[in-house]
Amino acid sequence: MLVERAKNKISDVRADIEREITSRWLSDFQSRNEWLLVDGSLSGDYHKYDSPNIVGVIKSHQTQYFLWEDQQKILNLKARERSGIFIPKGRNRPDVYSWYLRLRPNDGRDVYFGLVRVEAAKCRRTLDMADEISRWLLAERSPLSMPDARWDRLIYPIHDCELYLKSTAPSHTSLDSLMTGLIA
Amino acid sequence: MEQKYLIQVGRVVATEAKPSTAYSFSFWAAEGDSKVGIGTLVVVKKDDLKVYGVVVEGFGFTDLGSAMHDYIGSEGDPGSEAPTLRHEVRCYTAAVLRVEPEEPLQPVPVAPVYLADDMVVRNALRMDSFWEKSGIPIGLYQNGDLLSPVYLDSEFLLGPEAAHLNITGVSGLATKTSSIEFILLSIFEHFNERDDDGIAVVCFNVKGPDMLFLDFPGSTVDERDAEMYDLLRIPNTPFKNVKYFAPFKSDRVNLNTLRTHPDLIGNVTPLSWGLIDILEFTEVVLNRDDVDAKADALIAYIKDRVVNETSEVNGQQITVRNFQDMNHWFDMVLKEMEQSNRSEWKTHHYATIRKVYNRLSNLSTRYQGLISPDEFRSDLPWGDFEDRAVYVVDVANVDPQAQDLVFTRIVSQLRQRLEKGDLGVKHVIVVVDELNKYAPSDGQETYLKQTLLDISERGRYLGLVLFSAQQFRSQVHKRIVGNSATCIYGRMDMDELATPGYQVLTSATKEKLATLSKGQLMVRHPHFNQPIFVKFPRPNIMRGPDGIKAYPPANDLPLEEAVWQNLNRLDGGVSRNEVSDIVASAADSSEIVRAMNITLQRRPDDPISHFRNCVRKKAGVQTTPGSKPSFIPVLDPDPSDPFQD
Ligand SMILES: Nc1ncnc2c1ncn2[C@@H]1O[C@H](COP(=O)(O)OP(=O)(O)O)[C@@H](O)[C@H]1O
Ligand SMILES: [Mg+2]
Repeated sequence: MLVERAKNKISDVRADIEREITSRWLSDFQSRNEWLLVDGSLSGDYHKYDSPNIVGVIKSHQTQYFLWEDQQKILNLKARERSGIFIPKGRNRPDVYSWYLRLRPNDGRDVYFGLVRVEAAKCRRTLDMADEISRWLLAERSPLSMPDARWDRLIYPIHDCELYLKSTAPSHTSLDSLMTGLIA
Repeated sequence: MEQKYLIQVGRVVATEAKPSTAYSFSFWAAEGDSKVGIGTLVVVKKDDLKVYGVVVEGFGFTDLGSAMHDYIGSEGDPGSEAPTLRHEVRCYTAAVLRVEPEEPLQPVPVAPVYLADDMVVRNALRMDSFWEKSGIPIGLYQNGDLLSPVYLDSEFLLGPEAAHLNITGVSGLATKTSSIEFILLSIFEHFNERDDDGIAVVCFNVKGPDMLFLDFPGSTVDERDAEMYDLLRIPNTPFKNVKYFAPFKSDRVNLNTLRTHPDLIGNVTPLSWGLIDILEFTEVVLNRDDVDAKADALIAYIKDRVVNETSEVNGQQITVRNFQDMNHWFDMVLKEMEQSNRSEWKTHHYATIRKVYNRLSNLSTRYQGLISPDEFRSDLPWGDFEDRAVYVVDVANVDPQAQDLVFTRIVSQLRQRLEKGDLGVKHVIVVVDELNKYAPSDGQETYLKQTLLDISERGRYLGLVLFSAQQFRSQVHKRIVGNSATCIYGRMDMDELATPGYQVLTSATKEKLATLSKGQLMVRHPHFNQPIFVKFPRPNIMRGPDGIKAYPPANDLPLEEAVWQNLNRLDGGVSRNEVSDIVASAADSSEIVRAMNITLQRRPDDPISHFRNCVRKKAGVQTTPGSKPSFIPVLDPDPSDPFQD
């Protein structure tokens, strides 16, 4: 119970931070032809810009956006193939464009192997650039993010970033000792 | 003073898998930093604590778990370049050289790591305690553009605390001969014992012309070498005072050396030992099995009562000063026994006398060229050794048994004279190359090996120090290299490095040793806790092969020609005809040889008359065994002879 609530709290705080950083980045760097790659769904005030340089990559597929028949097409995507662009529904946030992209062949593996969903701003440019953005992501398949279990979908820059964050995070041992200190 | 800003090159890392200890630590180095490598000296600083270390191992790695992952990631195409590069980290392991303050001894802390500068090098190698007082520069520690002098402590190199130096490495690349020459030059410049002590070098040249041109400058003087000489404060010059010694060839006319060019032969002194010199070494020159107790007793009698004494045999007086006299003495003794029909002479049995006669008289034949049959004796200047002089004894072309005798007698003379303090100098460095030939770890016991062992074990108390070199240290007698406090390694052979003696070195250090370039050495010295890599400048000394090209050895001279040329060297006006006349008038050629050598040794103002007098006086003397002497032979010229000199 308590653990559950702590986890929720942490993920709320993290979402807030992400939102804020995204917004700040857009306001500071948007004009400089640089792109922000987000681990997960888009957040922040991207909708306030005409064509914001922001792309999200979603690795988990809890929500199914299509009915059986269309979903089959998506799950049958071959490596380097993408789906058509659609607007995912059901979230309380401004609309985005999205498509599925198969990063690696999944022959003999499960249907989600190598499959990511991409999000970008809902704007004309996204429609024009979907292929190009997909190619960018395909290029990032190497180096492999081994030994991470999600290496098939986790592109290396995100893995690298996680590695950095982990190295700055306090270790379990020091957290434990902090907690014990708090309780005592 | 310490430089204000040391260059930081990394940071200590300690993990559970690879923790820091008091003796070693790891650190990672900044990306793309080429300043750190195996052998680099570093210092870790945290508050007042300084930990000095030397890099002994390096690892580079990324987060890649398996080669397979990279293969899959590149889809099997080695040419593919990923847009995002993996981090690559370079971790180094360093061995601790010194910690300040020394107590308490603790694991190395996690702290910044800096590159060593001159001052740090000095402290890291504990040279601060001795470099001013007794430092002998051995080379420069190089780190990027930085060159810091590295010093050996003369009290640990030349005694009395410890002594001896040994150098190992493959032929032609390890720069063994060159580095010994360089270190000797450095010692001559920097050794500052009390002024009257003096230090000299006795070099046994055992290989071709290796050390026969030590007093000539080399051909290549390179700017970088010159800079190194400046930093080490060593003059970039050859040895100033070198004297060469070599036995004769079997003709006793030509010297058995390659330094026979007419311009150079004047500085080569014959090594020619007489009866007195040899009798002390009968155990070396005679086969052990031959010298039983009875023979020993007779030899002792001869030493005490016959040599250099006038004794009476068979009613005749005889003074024995050389082999010829001794043979004569034996003849007289045997004759007396035969005439009186006795089997014993002064308790010595006839058979013993015959045997000892046979063995001793054989010596001047067996060691022809080295042992003089007559009164001519020529040797190292015992008692008059000069400070900072090099005495090169060329034994490269003599056979092993003569080498044995040369080494043993010279070293034993050095030892006796150093003990008594009447050598002329108080410190002598004996240089021997090819130690694995002369003191092999296996193989038979020789006097030479015993002699070398003796220097290495007891020499330092006497001021007798051994500098030795060999290709394969593992093949040298363990106690000889073991007693060597300073050990140097040039380029090494991988097979040699695989032998047990090198187990203490990390594999990276071994790899480095196997690829050292010329002029780079690894040094172990008692003050350094770990081996240190240094470079040294090429000695400005003519290399043997170049010397042979510049001064080709002369052809062997026939006797008469040799006499003329030699006398002419003393005095340019000697006429050829005169020499011919004297030679023709002599009884036999050995008489001419004797007279020539004595004349050369005495260097009289008027060589030709001296030579004539020497020959004339002795002409007609029959000294072959068995002849009937009808007079008292006093073969040594009378010192008060008015016709001499
Ligand atoms: N300090 C140095 N730097 C560069 N080359 C050197 C240096 N010392 C010697 N050499 C060269 O290395 C070669 C081998 O040197 P040498 O002393 O004869 O080696 P070794 O005695 O081990 O056979 C020679 O050609 C010599 O000129
Ligand atoms: Mg050599």
